[in-house]
Amino acid sequence: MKELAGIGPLALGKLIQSRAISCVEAVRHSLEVIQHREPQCSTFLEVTGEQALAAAQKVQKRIDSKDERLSPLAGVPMAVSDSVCVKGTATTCGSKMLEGFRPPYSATVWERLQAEGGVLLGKTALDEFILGVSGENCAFGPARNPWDTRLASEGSAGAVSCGEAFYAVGSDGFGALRRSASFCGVSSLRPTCGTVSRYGLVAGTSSLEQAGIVGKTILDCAQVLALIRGKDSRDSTTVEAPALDWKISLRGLRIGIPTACFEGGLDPNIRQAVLAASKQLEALGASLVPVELPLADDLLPTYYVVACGEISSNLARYDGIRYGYRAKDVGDLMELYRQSRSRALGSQIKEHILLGNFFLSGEGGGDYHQKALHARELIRRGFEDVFTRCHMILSPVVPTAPRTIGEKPGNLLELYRQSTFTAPAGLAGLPAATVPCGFDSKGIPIGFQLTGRPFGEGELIAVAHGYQMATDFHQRLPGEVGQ
Amino acid sequence: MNWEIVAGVEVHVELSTHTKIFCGCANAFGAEPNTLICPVCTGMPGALPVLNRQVVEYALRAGLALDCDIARRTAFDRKNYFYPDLPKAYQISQLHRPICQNGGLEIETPTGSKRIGIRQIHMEEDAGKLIHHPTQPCTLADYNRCGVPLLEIVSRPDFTAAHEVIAYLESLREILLFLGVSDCKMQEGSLRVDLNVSVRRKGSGEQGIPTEMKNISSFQSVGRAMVWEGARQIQLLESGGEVLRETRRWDDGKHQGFVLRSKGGAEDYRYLPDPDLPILEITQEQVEQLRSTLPELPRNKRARYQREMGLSSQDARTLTTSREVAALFEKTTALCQHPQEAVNLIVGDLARLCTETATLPENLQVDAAKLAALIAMIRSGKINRTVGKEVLEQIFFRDADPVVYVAQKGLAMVDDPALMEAAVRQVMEENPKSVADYQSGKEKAFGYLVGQTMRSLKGKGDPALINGILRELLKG
Amino acid sequence: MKIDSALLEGLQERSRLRLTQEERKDFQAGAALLLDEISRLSHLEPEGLAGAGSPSRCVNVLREDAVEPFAGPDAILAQAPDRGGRYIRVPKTVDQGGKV
Ligand SMILES: [Mg+2]
Ligand SMILES: [Zn+2]
Repeated sequence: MKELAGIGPLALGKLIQSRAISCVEAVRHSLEVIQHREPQCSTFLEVTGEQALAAAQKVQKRIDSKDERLSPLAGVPMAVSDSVCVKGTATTCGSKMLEGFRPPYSATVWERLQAEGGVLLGKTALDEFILGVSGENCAFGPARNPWDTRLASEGSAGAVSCGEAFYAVGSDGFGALRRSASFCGVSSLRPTCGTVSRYGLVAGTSSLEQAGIVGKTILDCAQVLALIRGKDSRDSTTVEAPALDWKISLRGLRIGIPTACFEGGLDPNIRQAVLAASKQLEALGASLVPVELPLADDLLPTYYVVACGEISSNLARYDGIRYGYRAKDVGDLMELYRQSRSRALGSQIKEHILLGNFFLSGEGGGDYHQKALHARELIRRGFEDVFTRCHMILSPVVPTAPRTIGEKPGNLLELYRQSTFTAPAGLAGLPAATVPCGFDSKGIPIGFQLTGRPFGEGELIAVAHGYQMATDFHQRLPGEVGQ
Repeated sequence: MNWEIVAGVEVHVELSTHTKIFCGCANAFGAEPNTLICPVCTGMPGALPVLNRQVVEYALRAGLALDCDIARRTAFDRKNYFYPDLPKAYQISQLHRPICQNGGLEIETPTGSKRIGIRQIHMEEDAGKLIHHPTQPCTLADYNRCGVPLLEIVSRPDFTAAHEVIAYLESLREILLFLGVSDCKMQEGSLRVDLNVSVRRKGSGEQGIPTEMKNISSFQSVGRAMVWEGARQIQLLESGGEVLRETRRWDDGKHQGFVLRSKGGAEDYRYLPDPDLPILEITQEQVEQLRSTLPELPRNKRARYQREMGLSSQDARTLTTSREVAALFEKTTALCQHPQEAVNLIVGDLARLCTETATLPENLQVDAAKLAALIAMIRSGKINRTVGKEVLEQIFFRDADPVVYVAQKGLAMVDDPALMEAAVRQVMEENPKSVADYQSGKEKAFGYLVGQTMRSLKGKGDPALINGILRELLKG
Repeated sequence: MKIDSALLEGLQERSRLRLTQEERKDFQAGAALLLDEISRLSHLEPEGLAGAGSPSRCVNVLREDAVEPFAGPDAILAQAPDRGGRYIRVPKTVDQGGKV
C-alpha cells in the first residue's frame, strides 16, 4: 500500500471511484500509517479504527451501487479535531473537563462530510478549548510536529503532514490551526464568517471562530470547503455564500502587502520566505500594493478583549452538573462549581476566564469590552476600505519560530503576540488561507497567509493554487528534510 | 414623619408558543421531568440558538398594546451567572437593545385614572426548575422549562399605593390574555411578579434604596408585600438604620418577607452581546401591519359596551374578564340583536353553570348561534324563562340545538286562548273554595288559582295571559 | 492597570475558580504585562457605534414555531455525573428559583 504515500485526497478519491482501490483498503492504509507514526507524533486523541472500517464498507457499497450523491472525496480517510462533536464518540476539545463526554449529536460539518461518504479515522489533539499557541496546550498531551517531534502541533495539521489522514477539519480559533499547518508544511483554509456552520463545534471564542480545513494542498482544502459550506438551519449566523469559484486568473489580482507587518520583531527566516513568496506571486501575474491595516495598533488588544470575554462566558457552562467532569464528594454547590472547574480546567484557560470576567465586569476592567466592540466595528469597516485597493492581503502566519515543548512559555503575552497575523480574519470575519513557502534554518516549514475579503475564498484559493503549481514546498514530506 | 412608599414591578410572562424560544422542543407544562430537552436548551457544547418567529410577534403585540416604542434594531445579550437551573450559565436576554421601550398603561384608581410607565419589554429565556429532594440534602434539576420564552415587562417605579399595583397587574394580565400571548397562570408560574420597593420622604422626589421581593403568589399578596416592606423600611430608617440592597422572599402565610440574598452593590452579570444570534431589524410596515391586527383591548371593549349597547359598567366588566367570554357575548349579540338578553344569559345562568362545573373561560364551548336562537325563543314568547334555563343547560352540557330540543320535548308555550280558557274554567270548577275566598276579598287565593292553572298546562302557559283570563272569569 | 489580590479574589469568585498560589503569581505577573498592551484601547470612545456580537452580517434569522422534538433526551440525561430518577442531582441549593 506504500504507493498511496504522498498522493492527495482527490487522486485517492479517483482511485476509489474507479475501484482501483477499495475504501477499506484506503482505511487500512491510513490505520497502518497511524500505527507507525503515533508513537512519535501522538496526533490522535482517539483512533476509531473499527468504526472507520465499518464506515468504509458502507461507502464502498454506495460506490458499488453507483450512488450519484457521493462526492469526489467519498471513501477518503480523514480526521476531525476533537472540537468537532461526533455523535456517540468521545469529544473532549482537549480538556479534562469533557473527559468521557459523548455528545448525542453531531456537528453539521461532520454530518455533511458523512453524507458525502467521508470516512472518519478519529479525533485529533488540539489546544484545550481551542485556546493556545499551536497545540501544546492540550490536557491529554500535545500532538507532535512530524518535522520535529520536539515541537507541538495541532493534531489535524500533524496528521495530514505525516500522511495519517488525507485531510482534516477542525476549529480555527486563536489561529493555532493555521499556525500548526504552517509549521507542519501543509495548507489550511478558514472560510468567511457564516460560510460554514459552527453547530456542534465546541465553542471557545464564538464570534472569532470558524471551521478550519487542513490539506496537503489548497485545492484539497477547497474541495472539502465545497462539501461543508452552506446555510445551516441550526446556526443562525450562517449564510448562503456566493458560488465557490477558484478558476480565476492571477493576472489583474492585487495583493496588499501590509509593510508594517514585515518590520519589527519578525523572524528573519520568515520575513525572507514570505517576501520571496510575494515575488513569486508577482512573477505569476499578480500585482503587489502596499497597504496599512485598519487600527493596526488596536487590532491585537481588540481581538484579545473580545476573545477573553467570550471564553469566560462560553466556558461557564462547564460546571460539573450536566456532563463532563464533576469533583467527587462535594456537598456544597459553590464548592462543587469551584472544585470541578479548578481541577479540570488548565491554567491557561483559567487565566483567560479570569481576564474575560475582568473585561466584562464594570469593576476594574474599565469599559474595555465596550471599547473593543467599538474598535471591532471600526476594524471591520476599515477592512472594507482596504479591500477597495486590493483583493487580498499577504502576511506571515506567525511572527517567530516555534518553541520546543516544555520550554517555559513566556506568559500570557506569548499567545497574544502569536496571534498578531491570525487575529484580523477572526475580528472581521474574513477568509484566510495558509500555504507552505519555505523552511527555516532548522528545517522547519514556514508558510505565508492570505487574508481575503468577505466571500473571497475563490480568489485566495486561485492565488494559493497558482503558487503551489509553481513551487513544490507542499510536496515535501517530513523526514525528507533533516531534523 | 411623612413617608411615601414607591414601588415598581417586573412581570415575567411565559409565552403560549408551541416551542421554546431557541430550539424546537415543545413548550408545555407538566411533562415528565427532562423529556422536553435537547442539546440547545441544556447548554451542550457547540449547540446554538435559533430564534422562534412567534416570540418576536408576541413581544411586538404586547409592546403595541402597552403603548411602547418599537426598536428598529434589537439584539440579544448574555446575562452571565451560575445557577444549576441555568445550563449555559448565562441567560439569553436583552439589555442594551430591548425590543420595546417607553410604554405605559392607564389604571383606574379611586381618585381617577393614572398612567403607569413601562420602561421596557424584552424577550428572554426561562430557566429550569429545581426541587428539593424530599429526604436527602440535595436538589433535583428538571430542564423542561429551560428556554421557554418569556417577556419581561418592567414598569417604572410609579406605584405609591398597593391598590395601584393590583390594578396594574389585573389590567396587564387582562391585556395579555386578550392578546393571546400568554395564559398568565400564576399557579403554574406562567406569570410571575417581582416587586421593587423603596421609601422616601413625601414630596422629596429622591430615590431610596430599593429591595426586590420575589416568590409572590397572587396579586393581592403583591399589595400586602408592598405595604409590609414599605413599613419595614420606614421603621428601619426611623430607628436610624439603613436599607440594604437585597433580594427578599415574600411568605404570604406568615405575612412577612425574608432575606433571600444580599446583593452587596449592583449585581455583576457581565453582559455581552450574544455572538450566536444575529441582529433583528423591524420595519415600520411590519409594525403597522401588526398594529392593524391587534384585537380590541378589554378597556376599549368595556367603554364600547356601555356606550353603544347601554350595558351597566358592572356587566361590561364581567363580560371582559376573559377573551372567550367577550367573544361569545359579541357573537351572540350580533346574531340576536339584543345585548341585554345576551348579558342576562351569559352573566347570569351561564356564569352560574361555569362556576358549578369549574369550567375555565378558555375551556368554555358554547355555540353563540345556539344562544342567539334561545334568546329569540324567549323574546318571542315561544318559551318562558323557566324553560329557558333548562334549554341553556342542554346547550351547555350537551351542545343541544335549542329549537329541536324545545320541539322534541314539547316545551313551547300554549298560546291558544280557547285552550287556556278551558284550563282556567276546569281549575275554577275543581277549586270552588278558592274561588269563594277570592270573591270574599282574599287576594292570596288568586295566586293559588294561577299556579294550579300553570300546573295543569305543565308550565307552558303564559302567566300574563292566564292572569287576564282568570280575572275576567272571576268577575263572574 | 493591574489586577491586585483583592480584585483577583473577586474575579475568582465570579468565575467559580480557585487558583493555586503558583497560578496566582503567574497570572498576576502575566496579566500586568498583558494589560499594558490592552490599555492601548484607552483612547477609543465607544459612543455611537453599537458593536455587534458577530461579524456575520445576517439579520432576522428566525425559525417557525413548529415542534421538532430531540430524539435523545435520555442520551442527554445519561451524560450527567449524578442523577435521581429522571432528575439531575446537585448539592442542595439555597433557594428554589434562580435569577431569571
Ligand atoms: Mg429577566
Ligand atoms: Zn431544546
